[in-house]
Amino acid sequence: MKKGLQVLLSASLIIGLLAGCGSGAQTAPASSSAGGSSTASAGTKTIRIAAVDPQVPLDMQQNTYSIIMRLTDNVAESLISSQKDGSLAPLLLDQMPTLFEDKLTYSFTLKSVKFHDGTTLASSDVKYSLERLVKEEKMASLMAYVAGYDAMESGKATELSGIKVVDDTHFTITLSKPYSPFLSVLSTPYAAIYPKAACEAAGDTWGLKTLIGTGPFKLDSYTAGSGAEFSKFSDYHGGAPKIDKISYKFIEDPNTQVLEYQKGNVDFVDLDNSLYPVYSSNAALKDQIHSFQQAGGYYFNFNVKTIKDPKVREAISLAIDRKSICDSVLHGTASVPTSFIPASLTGHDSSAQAFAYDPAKAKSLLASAGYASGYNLRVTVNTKSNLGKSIATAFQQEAKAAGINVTVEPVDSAAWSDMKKNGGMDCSVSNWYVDYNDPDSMLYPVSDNRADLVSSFWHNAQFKQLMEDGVKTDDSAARQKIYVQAENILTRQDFAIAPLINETKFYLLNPKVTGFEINSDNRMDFSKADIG
Amino acid sequence: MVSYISKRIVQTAVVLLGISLVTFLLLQVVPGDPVSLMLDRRADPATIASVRHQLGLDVSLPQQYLNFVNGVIHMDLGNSYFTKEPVLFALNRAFHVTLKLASLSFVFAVVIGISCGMIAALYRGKALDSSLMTLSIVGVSAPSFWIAIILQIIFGLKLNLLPISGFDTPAAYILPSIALGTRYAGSIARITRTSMLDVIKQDYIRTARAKGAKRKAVIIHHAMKNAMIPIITLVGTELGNMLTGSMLIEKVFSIPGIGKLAVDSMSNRDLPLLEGTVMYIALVFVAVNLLVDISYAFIDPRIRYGKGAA
Repeated sequence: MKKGLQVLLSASLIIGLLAGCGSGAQTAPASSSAGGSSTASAGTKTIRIAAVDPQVPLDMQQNTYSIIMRLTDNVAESLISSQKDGSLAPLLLDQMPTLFEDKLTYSFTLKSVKFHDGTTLASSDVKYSLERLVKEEKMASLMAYVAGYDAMESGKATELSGIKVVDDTHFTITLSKPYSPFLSVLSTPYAAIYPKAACEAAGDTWGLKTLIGTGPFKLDSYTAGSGAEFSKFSDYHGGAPKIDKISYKFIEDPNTQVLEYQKGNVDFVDLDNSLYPVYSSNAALKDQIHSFQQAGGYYFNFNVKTIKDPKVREAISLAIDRKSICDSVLHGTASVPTSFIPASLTGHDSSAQAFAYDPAKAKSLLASAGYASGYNLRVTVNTKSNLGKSIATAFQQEAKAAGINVTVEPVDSAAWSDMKKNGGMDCSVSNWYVDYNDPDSMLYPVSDNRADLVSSFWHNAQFKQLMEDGVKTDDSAARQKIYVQAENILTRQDFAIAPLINETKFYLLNPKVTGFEINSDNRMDFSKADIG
Repeated sequence: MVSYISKRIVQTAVVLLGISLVTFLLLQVVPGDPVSLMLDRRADPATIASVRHQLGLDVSLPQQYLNFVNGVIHMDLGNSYFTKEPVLFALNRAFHVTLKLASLSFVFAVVIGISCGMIAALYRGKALDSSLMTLSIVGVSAPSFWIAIILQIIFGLKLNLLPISGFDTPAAYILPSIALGTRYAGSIARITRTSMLDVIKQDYIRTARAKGAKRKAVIIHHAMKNAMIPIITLVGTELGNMLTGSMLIEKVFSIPGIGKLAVDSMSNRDLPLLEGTVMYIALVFVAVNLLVDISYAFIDPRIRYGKGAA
């Protein structure tokens, strides 16, 4: 009796737990009911999104996290928008700006556009917003080529002298030197245009309690740790949106996010790469998985002060079995890069071969560099990046074949940032995605003519000159040649970095939602979205 | 008793001061500059210097610490570097959430733990005892986040009885409270059983039974009361743990409590928020320990505090 009861209780416990374990991947989604309820219950069309809590003000001028961009993209707009194919189009402008013959001054004409508070967009708002970008400091150097930037940054001036308001709808921006990506820069979320009066009145509450823009949706509420609510802006200059509300629910755990999607409580979730194999084999969910390629990828960033010999850096690059990492760590969802500059950007070398895996050659290079008995390499990873940790761990095994002994050093975000700046890393698993669709945005983190060059400490005079030449000209053919050459120096001559993988990003979307897009800048557009 | 409590409150202030100093010093040692983190990838030295000045980080370390202590004395823990929100507001908001979660988990853990422990002790050596102790081992050893996921899948997704995440409705409190409380229920059940078995063997229990007292009355009025000291010690510590948040449970269920606040502030090197969170956690532990010590005197009349106490 005693044993019988014990066995019965134990068995029921184990069966219960196993039932719980096994149900996750195979449970059919309840999204049909969810989609229906979100559309019809209160007569309003609401799209519900699971997202990570940004924890900070919803203002891309203060914080650069892409999770904030996802929230603010449909509230605040920039003068220019980048299209799915990477081209630029006027958004708050009548037409694309005119560049004067001096190649320095752009002339702008604003469309008749209303802010959410009912005020009309004016040139003074543009001047205020772009100057605020400098004052907020985080992404100030995006305005580095605008005349008067140095004076403002050093505190000698309170305005950017290069921005001149002509009247309420006309203004000019003069650069201090030619900078062909400038219009692309104006398409970034950092260059969002805010109403001056409302933004100044809100002070520190901007992005927390108040966020006013010209976008298709208005911020109704933002509750830290809980979520954010947006409602449609009926006076939107691009036509009133079809959906009434966007509701963000902050859920930290990627697993919980997907469970909420399966239950039908949200219509959109990002699908972590680690979860992709589970859900791509789920018959009920696999057709609801969508993907996109963000321009950028993962790479090894070498500190050339500690890994001085290019032969060693080349050997490390040759010791990476990128294909294996794509297949094992990323379950075949990533691709081996042929170039650091992605295919969608000018400067991508379509004739380049994929970065090779050749441990024998790596070993021989290390021997010629004086490391015949093996090389000890410390690879630092940010604990925030699960993928970074997995890549480093996979490489730790692969590198043994080339005689490289890898120590993986996980550090948290704060230490990561500090170590990068102070040269505390020898080699790190980094990732980079463009802020604007231009090769300049891809290469500037490794260019030492920018203030933020900190983690690689690499200098190559020819590369630097090419980077300067590349932004001076707007001739596409010339730029293509310049950036192909620059990248070749970076990745195949000096081996300052070693590209690793180009990942594919996945998300689950309720099939009832239509007209929704994520472009290669990772920007979500709900202006044309609808729920069937 | 009053003098004892006064003495403990003074000790508490000293402990908090010590903890704040140690936290402050440790934060200077660990790598991670909050300003670099705030300014991210485009920060130049001039900008960094300007922001350091704004945040008061350009004065000497002793001066920085004194500024912090002065703020604490005036009930001003400063503002978060990132949200600009006063630290006290953030702590207050997270505390209310954590208090709710901790209270429910605590009730769950105490009711289930003590009941199971007592039943196991009373049925010592029988199937029920073995089964309950097996369950208690599972409760103690299974990671709480794993229990949380299992509960989410079974009760949230498969049976569709309870919310999977969030903490905004009474129904949403149930799964996180059980997930957090299970581990504590397991350990409370084990200590209750052991303590009860120790007491049941005592002479005075046999005497009470020999005098004709009913079994139920003996257990409730004699055995249970005397077995409570070790249980209360454990329960007090565990209440302290619950009130200081559970990062994993809060993450899995998306609950904006103290655990999440502490981890976020640490990873952001949000120094005022981090100092405030550490001070809160220390204060909770010290307060709970004080309450536990005081409760001994009410449970066991032989325990006395103050002058002449043994």
